[in-house]
Amino acid sequence: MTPKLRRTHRLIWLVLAVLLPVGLIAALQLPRVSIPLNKDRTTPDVHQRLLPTAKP
Amino acid sequence: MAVQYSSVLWNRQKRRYDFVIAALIVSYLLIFCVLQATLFPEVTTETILIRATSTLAFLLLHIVLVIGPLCRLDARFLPLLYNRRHLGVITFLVAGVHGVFSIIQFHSLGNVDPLVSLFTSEQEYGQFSQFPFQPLGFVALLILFLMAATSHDFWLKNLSPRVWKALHTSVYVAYALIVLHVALGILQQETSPVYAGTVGAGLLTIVSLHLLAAFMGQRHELRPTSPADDGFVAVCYVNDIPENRAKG
Repeated sequence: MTPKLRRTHRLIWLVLAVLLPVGLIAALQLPRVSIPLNKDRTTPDVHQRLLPTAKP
Repeated sequence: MAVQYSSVLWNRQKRRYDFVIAALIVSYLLIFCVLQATLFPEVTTETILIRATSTLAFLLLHIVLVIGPLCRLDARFLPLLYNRRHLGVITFLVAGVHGVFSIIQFHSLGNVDPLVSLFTSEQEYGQFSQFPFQPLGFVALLILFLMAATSHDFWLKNLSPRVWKALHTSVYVAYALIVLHVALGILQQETSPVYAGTVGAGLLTIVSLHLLAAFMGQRHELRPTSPADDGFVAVCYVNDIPENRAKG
């Protein structure tokens, strides 16, 4: 690893160390459970907000 | 004189490394699938596979990402670095199974192409709260694919070490995309603090180790170890030495 790449590598992690926790916390602050629970849990609940385009 | 490459230069260490990885992966998948089938008996096999491969790929990516800083902090972890390429390729394969099963389960049998559906079923790209989480995972999978496909000395030689390393540094982008994929996806549904806490703990571990390794490395560069400590005097970086020089 060259010195320049090493510096870039460190800079990337410094940026990620700030951005990733901020992004995660921001996502957790969103109004969750906007999707109704799938009681029988036959499909991953999170995908219920997807509306599949069924064949006519 | 031609340069010949073989797919994998197997040796005893690599075989042991891969055997341990395979054993751990099979054990994880078995335990996870049995637990899922027991706790949620109504869940379909496809869903169990999607969940098992998603958590496993995320876990493997964490392991791949901590190996580098761990080795810089303590030389005893160097055996883990030896065959990290294989671990990275396996991570892509597991993530690929998750991606393929997800696309088949949620985007096939529609009136649009599954990949088109992947990018258009949710279109609120301008809002963070509704930002589509699936394209994030897809782009991350593409990055993992590029890395897995070029994880060979052939590509290291032909792309040049600089380009190859830059390409493989994009794993950090992939990791960021996957964290957002998880945060905007499953964490929006599963409100238990256990899930968010687990993701947060993984993130904290990786970021802390990388920052600590960077800090220690920086300190070592500013105040290099004296010759009395290790018997060597640092004169330059290896890359500073011209070709065909400094030979014994």
